[in-house]
Amino acid sequence: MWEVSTINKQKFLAELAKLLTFMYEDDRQKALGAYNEMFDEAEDEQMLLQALVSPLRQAVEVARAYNAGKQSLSTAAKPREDEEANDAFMDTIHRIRAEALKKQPAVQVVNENQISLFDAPEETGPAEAPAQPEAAAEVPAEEAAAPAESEDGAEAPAEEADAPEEAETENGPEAEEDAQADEEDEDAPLPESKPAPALQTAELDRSQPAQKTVRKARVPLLILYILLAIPLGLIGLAILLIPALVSLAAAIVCITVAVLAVTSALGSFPKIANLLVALGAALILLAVGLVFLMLFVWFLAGAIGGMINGLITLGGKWCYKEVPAE
Amino acid sequence: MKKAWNVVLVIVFVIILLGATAIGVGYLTGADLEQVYMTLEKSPVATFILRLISYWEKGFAYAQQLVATLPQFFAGLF
Repeated sequence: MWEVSTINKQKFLAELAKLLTFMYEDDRQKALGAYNEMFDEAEDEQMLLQALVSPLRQAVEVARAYNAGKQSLSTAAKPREDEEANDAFMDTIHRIRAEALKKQPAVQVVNENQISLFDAPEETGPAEAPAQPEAAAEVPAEEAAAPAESEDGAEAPAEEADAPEEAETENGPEAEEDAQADEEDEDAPLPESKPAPALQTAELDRSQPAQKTVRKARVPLLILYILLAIPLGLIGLAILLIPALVSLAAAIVCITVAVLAVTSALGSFPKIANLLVALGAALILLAVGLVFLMLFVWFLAGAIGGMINGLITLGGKWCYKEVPAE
Repeated sequence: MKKAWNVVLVIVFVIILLGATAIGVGYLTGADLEQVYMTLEKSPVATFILRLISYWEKGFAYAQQLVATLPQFFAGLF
């Protein structure tokens, strides 16, 4: 149940926006708008999230309906110019909406392993299987409704082709048979070795420039964190300052003694052998002094600076969240 | 920071190598250690070291006094 409580509409839409970057910007906005409306219409957001299963699943469904042959992945975030509009994916989204809204009251108890919206597919437990055959069984019908896809299926990017396959393999033997039948119909050779996360990671990387997010502070948590971090940081600072100051004192002593030894040895030794021994000892002392000096710098810049940076980074992670820009 | 450590360690290694070479050559060419000690004792190095030792002893004595008074201080609090 913990995972359910951490997911909300904004996270779902942000993740979906990243996954839909293979679409033209206009289409992507249209699709995201439809999902946004879906959330607005839903009475219970968590129930809807459970019905939608995951952003990856929804992206796969949309990708199948979308005319993937015409739009390559390089079209991300670009407006449509010479291509004709293709709203087949909107029908799919409307169908998903109708089914998701219909399903909502029926979903009562959620298994702990069932919902894992933002985790990698391998982290979803076996309990996910019973909920998915319906969605998988709908996919062939949807493809039959969009004949243009079968022509372009062979040219579809590998990532897009892999993702549906991965989704289907999770849905049990029946869904796999359906999927194989579809593949034969389409004559599209789909490489089986690549896993679905390739879609996610590759498209996440590609979508970084297009994604617009805003950092928003969780004010109570931020205040609590500042109240705790300042005393803890001061204690850490005091603990780290002691060895730093000891190192500095040792460095000053070593370097001063070495310099004094060299200056006094140069004028007072008539014999060169004695001068060499004194100079050698002074040089070794100077080297030890340099090591202590470097230790001081390390304590000051590395340890203390790292601790402060770590506290700030941790505060940024815990007390700020990224939300898609309105 | 790692690169800085590498640079410093290389410099330190070179300095130690030079110092060890100087000491070795001095020994081999007949250095008189007693004369070296006597000369350094008369130089400002010795006075500096003696002053440091006296500071250390004073500081240590203050620290011992402080530690000895701590139990009384805490006993007075409760």
